[in-house]
Amino acid sequence: MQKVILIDDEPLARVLVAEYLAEFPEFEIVASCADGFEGAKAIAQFRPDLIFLDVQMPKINGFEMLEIINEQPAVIFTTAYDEFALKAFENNALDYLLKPFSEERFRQAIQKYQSKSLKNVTADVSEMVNKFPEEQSRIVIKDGGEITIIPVADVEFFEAYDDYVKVNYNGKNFLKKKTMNFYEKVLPKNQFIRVHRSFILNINHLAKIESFEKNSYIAILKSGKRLPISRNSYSDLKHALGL
Amino acid sequence: MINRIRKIGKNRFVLTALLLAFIGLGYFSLLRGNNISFRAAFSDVLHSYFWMLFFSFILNRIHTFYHSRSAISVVHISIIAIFSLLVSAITNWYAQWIAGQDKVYFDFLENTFFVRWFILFLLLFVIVQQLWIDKHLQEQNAAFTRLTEKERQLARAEMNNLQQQFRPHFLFNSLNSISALVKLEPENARKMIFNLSDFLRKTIHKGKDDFNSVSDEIDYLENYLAIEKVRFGERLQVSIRCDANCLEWQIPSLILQPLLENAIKYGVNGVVGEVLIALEIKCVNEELAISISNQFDPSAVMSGGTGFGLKSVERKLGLLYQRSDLMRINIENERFIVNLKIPKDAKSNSH
Repeated sequence: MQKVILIDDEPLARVLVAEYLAEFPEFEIVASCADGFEGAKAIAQFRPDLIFLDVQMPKINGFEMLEIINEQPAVIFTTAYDEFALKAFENNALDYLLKPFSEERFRQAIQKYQSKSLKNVTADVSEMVNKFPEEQSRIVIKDGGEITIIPVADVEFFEAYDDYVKVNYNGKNFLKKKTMNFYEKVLPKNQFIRVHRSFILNINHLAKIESFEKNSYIAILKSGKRLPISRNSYSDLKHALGL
Repeated sequence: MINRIRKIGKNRFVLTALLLAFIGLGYFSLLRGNNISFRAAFSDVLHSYFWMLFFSFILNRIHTFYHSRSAISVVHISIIAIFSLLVSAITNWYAQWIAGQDKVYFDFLENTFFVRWFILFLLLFVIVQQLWIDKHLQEQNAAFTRLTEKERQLARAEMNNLQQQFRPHFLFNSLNSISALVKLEPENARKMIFNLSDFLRKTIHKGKDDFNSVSDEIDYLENYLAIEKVRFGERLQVSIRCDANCLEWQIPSLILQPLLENAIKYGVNGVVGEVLIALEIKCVNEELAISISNQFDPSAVMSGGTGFGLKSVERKLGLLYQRSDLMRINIENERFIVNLKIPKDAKSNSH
């Protein structure tokens, strides 16, 4: 028996998938969730084989939910988003159903799953998340059982930390499995400056820049923290500050 | 602005031509004043001008020359000096050849070589200057056209964006709901189809009018709500209250729906569980006071599209009433409240 979880904020959309799925007795729906938090909880609890996942949902979107769960089930997206945003998935061992979808199309997706061509998709998801506007304004972090949503604008700075990035927010560090290059690419360029190989600074939190030896500078944040500024990025920083 | 530039360009051209004609005439009378025959004086002026214009044409062809930032530069002036020297030398030689036996004219040419050179230098300078200015104006003109074209494209992109934001997601999700209803509750599926088509039809029609009555707009809202309620089920609770004496007021068309859509979007996406949305319309003095509020979770960080619908409404109000104080946003007790004031417009609310 294959365990299935449906995650969609519209009840009728869940009803429809359940109805289509009734044709396949080998699947059992173990949970039906209305948002990403509920979904993440249910996935941890039931360890499903397959989930049907909507993209736009309350609190956190489908991609953000996938990012914070530990064990990835196979995923079939159900979404009203246009093809372009999801085209990337076509070759990537994932399937997506564009709402409204027919029963035939649904059967194809199930067959794709049954032929074992749906694989783990963590890497692709990571790529996808930044295609949606949410990622530019918030970061979803799971720390133990707790999920924190951090507004990007309020992040003080990002710091490289082995395979992770430390997100410094409200005087606390949150670990996110991403790269500095990823954040440098995704974050708004007029607000976040890569001041050093290991640091990306939010200029709204900058108090002053102090000179330190010759041609070397240190950024002092409003919180009193001090970050080194590499020689190459000093001009970027000055430019961002309009100097 | 473009027209102004063109006008200046045209006036300047006429002025330059007049100036050249005037100087030519002055030169002609100077020659005549020195007892030079009419024939010789006339041909002198004619061929001097011919060579001068010929060399200005050549100057104009020298592209790099015109790429200089300022109209007056050393290179600039020296080239003009050389060219004017050339022109005066050529005209002198040519005039001497024509003069033949005319002793007076011959001497005149000999004695006035440097004066003529100087005059030619000045004339050439004026012409080149004018050409330089002309070129710059043209460049400016082109830049300006590009700018307005860009603005037009921006406006179009914004328009598309507006439609994109509003329609496809809503439409496809609604169709998906219908697809689910068809088997379960065929009657409701049918109702949903009617609601959806009514809503789309009204959207198309209403977009054409600037103003509509409050009661019309409320009908439209009910229509929209019926669809959203099917999509979100019992979660969505909306109350609409309107003073009876406000119903015939004219308000800008399609101004309430984006506000309601915004409230639903942030209410439904920001809150888990039941969402309460309240719309109130009252007449206060000579104004219509509209308030729309939704629960929201202040700690929830919403997507990048925050306030898109609100901005479009604010812009619309600004355009129609030339006022920027008609929309206010308040946050009280975890409720997000948008307050609108619609003035009693003499034109649209005359009765």
